[in-house]
Amino acid sequence: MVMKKLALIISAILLLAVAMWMSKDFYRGQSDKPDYRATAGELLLAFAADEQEATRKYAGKRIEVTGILSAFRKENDRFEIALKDTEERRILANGIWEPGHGVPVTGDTIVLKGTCSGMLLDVIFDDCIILRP
Amino acid sequence: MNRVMKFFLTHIAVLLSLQGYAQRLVDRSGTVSFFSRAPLENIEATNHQVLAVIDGKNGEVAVAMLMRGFKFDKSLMEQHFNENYIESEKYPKATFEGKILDYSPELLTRDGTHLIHVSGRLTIHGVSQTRDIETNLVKDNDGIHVTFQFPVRLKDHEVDIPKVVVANIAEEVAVSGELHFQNTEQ
Repeated sequence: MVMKKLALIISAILLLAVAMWMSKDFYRGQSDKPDYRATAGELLLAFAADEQEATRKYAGKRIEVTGILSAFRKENDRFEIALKDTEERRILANGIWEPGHGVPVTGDTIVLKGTCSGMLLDVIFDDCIILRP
Repeated sequence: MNRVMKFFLTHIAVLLSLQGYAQRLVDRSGTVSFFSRAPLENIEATNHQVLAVIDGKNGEVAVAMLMRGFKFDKSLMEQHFNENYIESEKYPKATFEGKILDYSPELLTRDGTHLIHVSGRLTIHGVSQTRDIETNLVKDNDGIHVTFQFPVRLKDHEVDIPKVVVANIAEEVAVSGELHFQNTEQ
């Protein structure tokens, strides 16, 4: 009888542990979801049109950006990417370089996800990961 | 956008669009850090995307950085910094605009090390203060390297620290920076 109760308690604890582990994975997936998806051109146009409003909307948010690569630099474990629009305005994105990732080439279409910091001369993105290529 | 920021950004845009022989020096990825020493914990953050411009013709200097560009070890600390203390949504940038005192163009063209003073307006959290900042400038084959260190009293820029965290955040923080300029002469 005692052994049966003990087995039930242990099973319940194990089930709870598995449920917590599974929910952690679920919420991790949720937190990786970007707040916005946009092209580099759309973001640069928004900042050019009304910097204050664009900063209010995008600064501090995780954004998935698609754009054409105009410059790439890698130093140690960090990379910096520039995405330009037709008006030669730029998004500057930096992040940790993942070993094994192919080096992008100027002219490639890049998809990256990062946190928008705002705009100085360029629109700045931090903590970026390259999703494509 | 307040008057100071508009003037500052216009100033940078004008400096960078000037045609002619004027020497313009730009650093788009300067570094500025701050350090707070308090009884309960020390706090440090670094910004690697500082924009700085020197006008070689007259020694005018402009520096700008996004407050969200400051990175902390603890993400919760970064969140509190942006949302509660510096209010990054209202005041997204910190700026300095000023001039090198006793400036001569040889400072930027002749190899050597110089201790210089830069005087101007430092704007943080929307509040400006006049500052005279001692700066080390080294000119060599690699370009111009500038380093500086100065204290900032949070109260001077109306950054309020709640009493409950006073033991965690110092009233005065140590700011330090490193800029590297290469010529953009046209």
